[in-house]
Amino acid sequence: MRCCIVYSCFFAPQPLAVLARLLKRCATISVCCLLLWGGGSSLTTPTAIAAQPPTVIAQTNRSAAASDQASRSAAAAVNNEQAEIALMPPDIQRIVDRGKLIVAVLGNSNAPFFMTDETGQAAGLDIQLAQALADQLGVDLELNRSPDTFNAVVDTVYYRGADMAISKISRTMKRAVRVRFSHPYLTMRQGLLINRLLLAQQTNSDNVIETIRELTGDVGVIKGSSYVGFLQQRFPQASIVELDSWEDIVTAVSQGDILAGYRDELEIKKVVKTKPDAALQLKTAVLTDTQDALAMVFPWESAHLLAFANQYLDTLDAEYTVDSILEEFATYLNTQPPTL
Amino acid sequence: MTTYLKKSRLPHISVEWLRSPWCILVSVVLGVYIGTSLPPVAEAIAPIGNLYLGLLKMCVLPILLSAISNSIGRLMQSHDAKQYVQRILIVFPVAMFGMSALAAVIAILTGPGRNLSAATLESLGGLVNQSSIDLEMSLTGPIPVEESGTNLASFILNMVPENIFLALSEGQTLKVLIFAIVFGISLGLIKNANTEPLFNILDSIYSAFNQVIHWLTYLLPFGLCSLLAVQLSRIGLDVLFSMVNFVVVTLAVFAAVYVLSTFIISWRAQQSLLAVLRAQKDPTILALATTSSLACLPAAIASLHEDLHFDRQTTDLVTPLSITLCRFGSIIYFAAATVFVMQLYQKPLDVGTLFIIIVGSVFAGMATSGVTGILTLTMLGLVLDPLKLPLDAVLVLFVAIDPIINPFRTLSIVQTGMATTAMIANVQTEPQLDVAPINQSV
Repeated sequence: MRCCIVYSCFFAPQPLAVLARLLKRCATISVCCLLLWGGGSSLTTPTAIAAQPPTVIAQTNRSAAASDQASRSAAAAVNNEQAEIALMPPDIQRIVDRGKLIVAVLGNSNAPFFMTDETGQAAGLDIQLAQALADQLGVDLELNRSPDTFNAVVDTVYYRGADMAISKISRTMKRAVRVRFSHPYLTMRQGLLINRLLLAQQTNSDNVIETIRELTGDVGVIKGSSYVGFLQQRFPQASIVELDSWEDIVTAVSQGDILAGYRDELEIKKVVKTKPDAALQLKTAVLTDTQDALAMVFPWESAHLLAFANQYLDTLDAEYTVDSILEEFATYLNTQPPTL
Repeated sequence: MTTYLKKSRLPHISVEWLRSPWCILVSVVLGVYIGTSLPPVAEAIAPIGNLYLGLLKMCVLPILLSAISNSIGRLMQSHDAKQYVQRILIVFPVAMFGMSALAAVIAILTGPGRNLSAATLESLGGLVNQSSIDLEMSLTGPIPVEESGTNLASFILNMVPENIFLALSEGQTLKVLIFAIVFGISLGLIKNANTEPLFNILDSIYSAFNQVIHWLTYLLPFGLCSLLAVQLSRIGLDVLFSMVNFVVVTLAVFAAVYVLSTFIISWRAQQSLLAVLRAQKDPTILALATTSSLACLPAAIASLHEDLHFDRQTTDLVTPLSITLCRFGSIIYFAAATVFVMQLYQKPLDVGTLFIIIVGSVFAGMATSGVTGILTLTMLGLVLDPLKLPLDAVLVLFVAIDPIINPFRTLSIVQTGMATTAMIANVQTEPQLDVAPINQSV
């Protein structure tokens, strides 16, 4: 204030003094308004603040827009309960109302993503992620284990048999037509499990890399998995053999019934770790310029749940890698037979 | 008592005890003890062994060059050339194919790779799988060029040195050998008295380096102890257990070949077995300790010529040829290893594949003369390729057991090389007087 006066005396007394007086009056009025309005809203929704913070924010915005009319505050208080329901994202609201998050997971075990521990409980990376999301939402977790193929897991979400799916699902364009994918929670490379004897009999070239690039012969993939498409795309000359489980593929490659098995690098490394005796028969290869990104699956309209999951993945401390996961769940790999 | 030269020009200090068999025995026992119980000490004394080996190898190239040039030149002058070339051309192939067939048959009969237990297969797989992924490759972009050491055509092409001094400075024995043969033939065919001084110079070089080798025998106990200790400390016993069948069969084949060679030498030298065994003491010990067949070359020549009284000229010529070119130890090993791999992968064996194994092993074995180290074992690909068997997995296994196999393979190279030389060379008639009385007592 003193500063203001000194300035006004020194330079141009008349116009600045008027401006300062105007400013002061405006400030006083706005402070009074703020005080009045704040006290009024806190009086109208004391319970809402405690229970539902988002709803409070929504309502205060509304109140601010209509701050000039104090009479409207009473009407807002009356409509409070209905406004809360309409303002929650419907996909989240459905889960909160139900009190549980339903996540689709493939019926079979697939360590280290989903398997059963010693006590018979579901465990694994995907189960951990699902549980964490349920905890963040403040609801219970329910698993839908009815799907028997990876494509069936996607279909379960598509037909709304679950709120979402976390089941080692690879992000593919074909699937993305019908469902939405989160950010990848694990990015792997693709790999091949090749029968050494049959590879030595391939006469395309002396160079093993050239032979693999132009792979001809029977290549096994899991029925109803993304690798059926990957195989057509990457190795058009190979003939597709769809088998029921990864276990069947590994056995067939070991026995020389098919030339190779095609899957992600984690499964390739898992075979190496769990079946050391097969190393004489099996050659492992990782394709450095390929990608297999695992992501969570959502129905197309669950935009908010998707954003919620993405935000959770973004805030994770450490990024998952194939080796970190294999290490974290090493005990499961050693004790369990390598099913699927 | 083995001596390289009868008259030692060394000043008379009493170090003769260093050459007694007892001293060598003590050093062997000490080396085995350090190698098995005190690996850090073995590493610490490793430089002694390397120094000894380095001094020994220093003498090899001059001896190889002078011995072959000299002997082949004199052979050409003596008009016996045709007879010796005929003998070499008959004995070398017969011996190589014979050894290859013998090893293959023994391996087939004993079946080291048949009916392996699940636990053995598992530990073998663990060996193969030390790095969890065999191959990281891209599907696009240029194809990286592979280091191919297993090409027979390139091997034959590489036998001829473009630059003899490069071959000498890089120690490429096979190229030096080819050069020495060509040089010796041309030197012998020049009917001119001017060549005589050159022959004398070559003789002097040969004698000088033999003298060095002779001095080095005084250091043998030290070198032997260190070399044995280092070798033994590097053998992993767990590897031995999973490959035990194959190791035992291979060592048995090597032992059989050693005994057979000794009989042949004994028969050709017309001396008792005990005398022959005593005469080949030095090359045998050196082969086991140094695992370098070339380093044993001077000792092998000395043993054949001085102790067993084979004709010097032929010995000088044929011993380097058979040790560098014929590589019997490698041939035997490859034949046995191929049969083992076939049994491991349960491939049926018929006459055709047996033929491929025998012939392929001979070529693969000969091809090892141009290479050293792990590349020696990759030559196995020359046999496995035509049989459509994969090399990369089993190579790891063979590399793992090589510290055990290598000394005996070297011994087999040297010993069979000596036997082949004995088949070709004649016993000198005049030095019967030199035969030690002890030989007649047995």
